[in-house]
Amino acid sequence: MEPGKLEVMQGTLDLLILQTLQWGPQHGHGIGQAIRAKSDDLLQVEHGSLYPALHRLRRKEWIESEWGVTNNNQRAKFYRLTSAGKRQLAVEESRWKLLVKTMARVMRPEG
Amino acid sequence: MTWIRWWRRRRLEEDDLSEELRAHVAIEARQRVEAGQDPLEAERAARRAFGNATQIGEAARETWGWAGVERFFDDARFGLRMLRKTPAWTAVICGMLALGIGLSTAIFSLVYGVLLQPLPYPQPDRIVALWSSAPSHGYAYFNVNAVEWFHWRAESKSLEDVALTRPIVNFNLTGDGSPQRLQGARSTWNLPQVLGVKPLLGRVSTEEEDLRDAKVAILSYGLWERQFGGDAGVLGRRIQLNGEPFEVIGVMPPEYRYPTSAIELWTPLYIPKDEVREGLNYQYISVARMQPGISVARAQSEITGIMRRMMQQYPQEYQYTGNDFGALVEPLAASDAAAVRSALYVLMASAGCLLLIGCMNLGILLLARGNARAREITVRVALGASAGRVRRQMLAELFPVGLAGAAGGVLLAWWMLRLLLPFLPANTPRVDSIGLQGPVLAFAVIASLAVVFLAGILPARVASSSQLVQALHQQSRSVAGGGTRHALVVAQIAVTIVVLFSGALFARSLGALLKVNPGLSAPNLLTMHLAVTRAKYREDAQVSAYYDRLLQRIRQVPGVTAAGIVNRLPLSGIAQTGPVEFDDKPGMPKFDTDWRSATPGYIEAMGIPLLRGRVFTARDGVTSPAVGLIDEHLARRVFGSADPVGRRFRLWAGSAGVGPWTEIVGVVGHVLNDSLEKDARPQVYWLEAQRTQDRGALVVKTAGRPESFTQAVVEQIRAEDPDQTVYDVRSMEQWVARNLESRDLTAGLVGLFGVSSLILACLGLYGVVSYSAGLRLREFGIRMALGARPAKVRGMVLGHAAQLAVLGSAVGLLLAWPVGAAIKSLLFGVGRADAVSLIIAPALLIAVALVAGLGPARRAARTDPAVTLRAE
Repeated sequence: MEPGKLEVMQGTLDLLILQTLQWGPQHGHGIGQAIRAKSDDLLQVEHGSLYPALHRLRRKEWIESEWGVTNNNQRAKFYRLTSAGKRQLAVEESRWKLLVKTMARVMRPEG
Repeated sequence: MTWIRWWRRRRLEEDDLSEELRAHVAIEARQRVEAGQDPLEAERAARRAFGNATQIGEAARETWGWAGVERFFDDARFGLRMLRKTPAWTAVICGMLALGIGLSTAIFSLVYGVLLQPLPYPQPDRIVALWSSAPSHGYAYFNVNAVEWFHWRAESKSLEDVALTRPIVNFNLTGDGSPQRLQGARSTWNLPQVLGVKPLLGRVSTEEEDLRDAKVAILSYGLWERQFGGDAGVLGRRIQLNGEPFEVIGVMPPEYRYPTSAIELWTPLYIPKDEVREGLNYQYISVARMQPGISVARAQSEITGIMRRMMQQYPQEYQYTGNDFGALVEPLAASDAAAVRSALYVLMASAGCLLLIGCMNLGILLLARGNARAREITVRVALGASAGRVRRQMLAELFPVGLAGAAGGVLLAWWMLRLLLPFLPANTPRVDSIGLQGPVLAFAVIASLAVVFLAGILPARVASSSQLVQALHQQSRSVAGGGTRHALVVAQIAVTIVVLFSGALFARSLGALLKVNPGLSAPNLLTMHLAVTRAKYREDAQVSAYYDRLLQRIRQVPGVTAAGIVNRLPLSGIAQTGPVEFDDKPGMPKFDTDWRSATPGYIEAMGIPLLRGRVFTARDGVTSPAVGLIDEHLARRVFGSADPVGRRFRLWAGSAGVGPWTEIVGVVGHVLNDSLEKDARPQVYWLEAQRTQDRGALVVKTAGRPESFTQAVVEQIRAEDPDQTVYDVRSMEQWVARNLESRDLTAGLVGLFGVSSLILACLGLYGVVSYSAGLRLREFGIRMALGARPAKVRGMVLGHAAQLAVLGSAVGLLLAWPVGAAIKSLLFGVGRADAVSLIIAPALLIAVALVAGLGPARRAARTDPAVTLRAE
């Protein structure tokens, strides 16, 4: 891992993927790039984690996939949120917020 | 064809995944080109940035769920290829596995067929057998009497119903071809209902038919097929049984086989009024169906209560038996296998030990193989295989071995069963249901796979943890697992010692039994059984006159030196027993004795020594004064050194009355009436003419091979009465041998397991010793170059073998202690810590171990220093 880069925390990759997909269908490469871009290149998604995660989410039917064509006219497999995925996203988001709040409290106790 | 569809879908998904990963790289490359990179360079960079596509694909595939199974089969297929490369090694381990699985599967099929298989009746776990019991008198369980049955039926709430059966009733079937003797049973009307079986044809008997002793008969399926050709028209037909017409009212289905499958006929059980006496006539067996949801323990405690009340109600009748009298309730399936149960458990345990040894042996072989493959595995680890992955692969490779072992084992078991079944003891129940049924086959497959995987776990751990650098450095030589190997050999030897020790104990029990003197002279003695047709010879006097005429005819056959009839042969296991009292010994306790009714000539023919007085003669008869014989044990206990001849005794049955006073005319030698192993009671003999029995055993002393007289003797019987059936024809020597059957089998099989274990363990020892010697060749070379003599090197290798053998034997002897205690009740004439067995087992093992070590030792001693030193 290069210095200054963060590894995606265990369990948060699913949330990041769902979050990314809520703006519309995207292929694997695009998802990875989007996460990196939005985090100002701080978050690095390993392909070895990304694809298993995509397949896992598809198996849980939170996302679905379809072959399509990119803007550059290249074939790619696009993933899209299902309605179950949208619900899951809401759940994961609130859980994440709770986690962040709790972590903050633990790390810097008030009073 | 769902699996084809599944396979197609699988392939599609597979293509889809690689396509997806390729597309990813293409997009990345395109972006790089757009950013101004050289296309070729961009393509390469994109690949590098993507990482190991195979690994990523595999990780993604893993989420599909089927990946584990698929990889397992891939590994198994790879294993098959590896096994084919080393055919000799493969043959050895498959053969070894098949041997172990075959032996244990054969034994398991016996255990399953006899003990585990549920009875063929509905809700079999609700069916129990009931026995009388007086443990402190040495009778753990014995037959029941009618009074007990009445009480149980009337008072028990936990039992739905209780049926009563008189098991051994001889029926002479005449009128349909040559006369036949059938084994039948008289049973109460409710027996089919208790067992839950409906007749195949017709009906079962009724309570009313029981009460009036109706002449109706129910046929077994076997008899119906054999004798009546399976003709439904048999219903309503009259058949001649013991000279009286019986109407056939029903045919039972094949699974109905109570009390045993030998029973071919059931007639109503009529209980005469004078037979219904407390404390007397224990001649029935009983079976009951418990109410739903009732446990055996619950039924037992209720029956115990009923028995206690009975004894309080009739204190007079039970004074002889004392307070220690009750009833035993046990599941029917366990009950009728009681005689062979413990022997079967011993055999199963021996088979288990053999499997364990085979498993450890396989472990040793796999360890050695793992070492040979250390480089291959190291390369795999270097290429990124995780330790778990290597472990899983090594286990999956063994899968084909396990299957081959199971297949070979089943074949071997099938062959062994065919060999074994004829030797099973005659009292083994449900022999016809022993076979390779589903659960037995499942056992073979599961046991085989379990053995293989268990054996594979250790080597797989050792292999997967092998140090990368070290292994690559050490060329082909890794010593990983040396300690494990030695531990396995020692454990193998220890288990072998246990099996050998038990085998020696059983063999010595058999030896002790062969030395037992039954008190009679078996050579040149022909025996056969007769059942008298009472319809023809109604009066007792007619029966004894008939016996006299038979014996006179037989004695005239040339070569016959003596002949007599007794109601039951010695060593028959079943006896009429009861208390007798003596004339002028009023204060003396009653003596529990065996009763036999014998004709003149019996004592002489059987070769029982006459010690005092005289035996029965032709002058003793129906009308002459009552005469009897007592055996030496009774004489000594009652009269001490005084002469009993001329004194009197009689049977004593409490308030039920007493027999006539009988004069003792002679004292004869004691005979083993129950079996060679049990000698429970002293004996008295009544004169057959004065205490007549319907069933007789004819014994004929001959001047030559007894079998050659069979025809002449049977001809004489038929000449007297053409309708007389004759059955169970045997020489006395065969009859005695029958007593040894189950011991023969146990000793033989445990011995076989012992020898097999010995061979396996010594194979393992050989492997380890020769492997270690191989590793030390360089050392031996140096030693010999420095002047060590070959004998010294030989001694070092042999010493290694001896060390392992002695260590294993020591551990084994420690284990033998509790094992001896566990099988104590099955031994005869030897103690659980029999010194001879304790010495024989390790001595045999160490001797064979040294022989096994001889090969590697000689090879090591032949080391040429020049060759071994240069070889590195």
